[in-house]
Amino acid sequence: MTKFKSRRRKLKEYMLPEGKTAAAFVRSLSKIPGIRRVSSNKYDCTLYDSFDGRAYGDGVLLAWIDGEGGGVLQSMSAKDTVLLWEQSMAKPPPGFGWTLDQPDRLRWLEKCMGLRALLPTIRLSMNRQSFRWTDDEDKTRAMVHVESIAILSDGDRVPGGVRVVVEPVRGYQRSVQKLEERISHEAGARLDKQGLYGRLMEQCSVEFARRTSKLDVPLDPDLQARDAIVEVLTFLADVMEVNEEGVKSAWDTEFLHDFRVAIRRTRSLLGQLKKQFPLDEIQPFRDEFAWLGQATGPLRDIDVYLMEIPGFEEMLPSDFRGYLQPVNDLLLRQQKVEHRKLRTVLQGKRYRSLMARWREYLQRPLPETEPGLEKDLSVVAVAKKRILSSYKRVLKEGWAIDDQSPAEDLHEMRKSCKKLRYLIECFQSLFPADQIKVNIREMKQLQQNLGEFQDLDVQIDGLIGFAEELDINDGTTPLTLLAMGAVLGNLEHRKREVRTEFKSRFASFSSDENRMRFNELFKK
Amino acid sequence: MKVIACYNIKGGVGKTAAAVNLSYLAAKEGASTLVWDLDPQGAASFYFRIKPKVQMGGTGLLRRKRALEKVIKGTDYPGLDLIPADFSYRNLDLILEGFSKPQNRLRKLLKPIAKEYDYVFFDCAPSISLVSENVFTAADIVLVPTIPTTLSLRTLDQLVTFIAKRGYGNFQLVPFFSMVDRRKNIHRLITTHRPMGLGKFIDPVIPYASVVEKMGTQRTPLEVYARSSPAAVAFRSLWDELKTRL
Repeated sequence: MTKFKSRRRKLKEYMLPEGKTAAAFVRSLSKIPGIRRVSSNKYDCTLYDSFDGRAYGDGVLLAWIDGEGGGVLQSMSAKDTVLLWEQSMAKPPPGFGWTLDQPDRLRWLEKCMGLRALLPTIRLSMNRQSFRWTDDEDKTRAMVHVESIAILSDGDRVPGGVRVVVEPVRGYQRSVQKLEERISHEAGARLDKQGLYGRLMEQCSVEFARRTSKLDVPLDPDLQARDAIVEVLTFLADVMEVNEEGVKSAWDTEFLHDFRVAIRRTRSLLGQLKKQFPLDEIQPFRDEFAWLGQATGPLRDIDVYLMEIPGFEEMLPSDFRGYLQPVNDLLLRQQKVEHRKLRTVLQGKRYRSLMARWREYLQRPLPETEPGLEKDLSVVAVAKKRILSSYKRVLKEGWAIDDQSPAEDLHEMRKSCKKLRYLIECFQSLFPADQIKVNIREMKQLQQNLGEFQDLDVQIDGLIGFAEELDINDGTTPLTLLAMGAVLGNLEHRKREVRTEFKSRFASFSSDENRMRFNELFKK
Repeated sequence: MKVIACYNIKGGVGKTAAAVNLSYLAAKEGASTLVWDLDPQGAASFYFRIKPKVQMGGTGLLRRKRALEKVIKGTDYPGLDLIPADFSYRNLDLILEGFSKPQNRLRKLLKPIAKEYDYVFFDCAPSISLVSENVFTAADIVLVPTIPTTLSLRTLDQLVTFIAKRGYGNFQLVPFFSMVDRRKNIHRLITTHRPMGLGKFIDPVIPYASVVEKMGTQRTPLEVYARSSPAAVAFRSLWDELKTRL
């Protein structure tokens, strides 16, 4: 593929005042000497981004312009109207399955999107008339496009005004200024510094922020613990509902990931804050969320295995790469089956009823008095108490682990760490951000070790399971099994390394300095 | 960034037609392309309807840092820009003599824009001079349009000797036959029995055609108004051949 250099172009956008039609503007434009209409056409434009607006967050807009036999993907700056690059393509972005012809663009996109797919965010239909503005040599100094905009939404066409785009030809900016003055003064067009795409995406940014699964709910320290926890639980219910459609449609794997994390956090909070809610009321929810967590598990496991296959391939000598294809194919088949099952669950009565009852419960005022409940405690007091107690438990479990301890002990400790992490994240807004960051960083390092140990265990079990499932008559050769064996060997080796690393990670986590920091921050 | 210089000691051999048509083809493929009209006659600028005038003149262009970026003009074709000619270019030799390493000046000037362009085409003035030596230092390919006549071959021979004597060996010398009139015996004879020792002539042959001359009235590349003409087809083959050498 030929790789050519990008050409940035600064465009100027103007919006006509409300009520002024494209036809009226074109009439006044046509009076300017050197202006000549060159074309008139309709085109559709779709702004793409990830579900949580990662490209926009990175200051970039991605617009797909439909054309004959394909279209053009344009990348524009989100804060001004600079066209960063454009590329003709046969198809609009179907998630990840498309290519950019320059490695630096592709690197940026991959880094920016991570595991998220590009999804259509805003659809526009444009009615465009294009004009050339030439000098006395009939040389183009600028192109002027007059576009009537319609925003397409749920089958409706919402009028979006008329924009005028001035595209100065390089080296003619000074003379084009005169043209722009006439456009803004005589025709009354208003300079739109942000540009149409930027403005529309800015409107979506509130929605993007709402779609984050990052647990950072700003809590009022004066709130009673129960009320604060209800706020967090409501946020988590929102995360579940926001991601539900993406899980059902399988747009990308992150929808299910975020959906599951919200379930786990909900369960964890309900499990640890028993004194804030009547047990008989929340126990049915704990059971139902446990069921939902289990229902989402098999598909997530397959998603993770599929993500790991390229890493497994890397472990193999180059001659063996490719022999894991039957495993990949098996996983893809299973992924379809499990996705169908999960979709049925999410469309089913049990799930609908759970979410409806849960929402209703979160909105319901809690009983004033309830024996055994710590109703009047402030959120700060409960947060400190729960975090410290959870922290002590992690330390206790960690100190009890030695070289002879069974793997189960590390898995148990991993779960305790998760619970502690959820608590810290849940209440992080109540503590100084810089101090909480240090504590979270320390936690992350320990969790990374425990998480990898658990992942390796699961991968080893998974590979053994797949080996049993692979159909030898369906293209699987002994070489596939040999390759899987080689991967298993690597995983076992790494598992031993990770197990050894645990000691130093935990030593750092449980150091005097770190313990003092924890105690200081969360002491009563 | 690759630099292709359309060059010949002789004038009227089709240098400008080659620079304009080949640069257009490069840009049409999506390459970011620049033509530098080094000929004070300004024919390439004329073909692109751009006034042959550089505000800072030849002196300013050669002396100022990052001067090229300030004088580049966009053509009417996406991805294709031009540094216009200026009448002061007739004195470029004299201006260049004022620099300590005069033969490297053009190459140095191109450095700041190397990130921006995939191809730069020089449309050179006919002569052999300090400007020519600058061209030899900056170019990856020196493309020599040659009319198949005895005198043209003689000047090509002079060029080959000059390059060898001065030791300019960092570029490919690529002669090709231009303005070939099949009705003329000498043209037929020379194009079929290609001369030895004058660099390897590449296959595509640009025919003598009135449609090429019409570029002067159309003021656009051939591809725009006579895409299916034999001359346009020949320029496409020439460009395809050149790409294999870059």
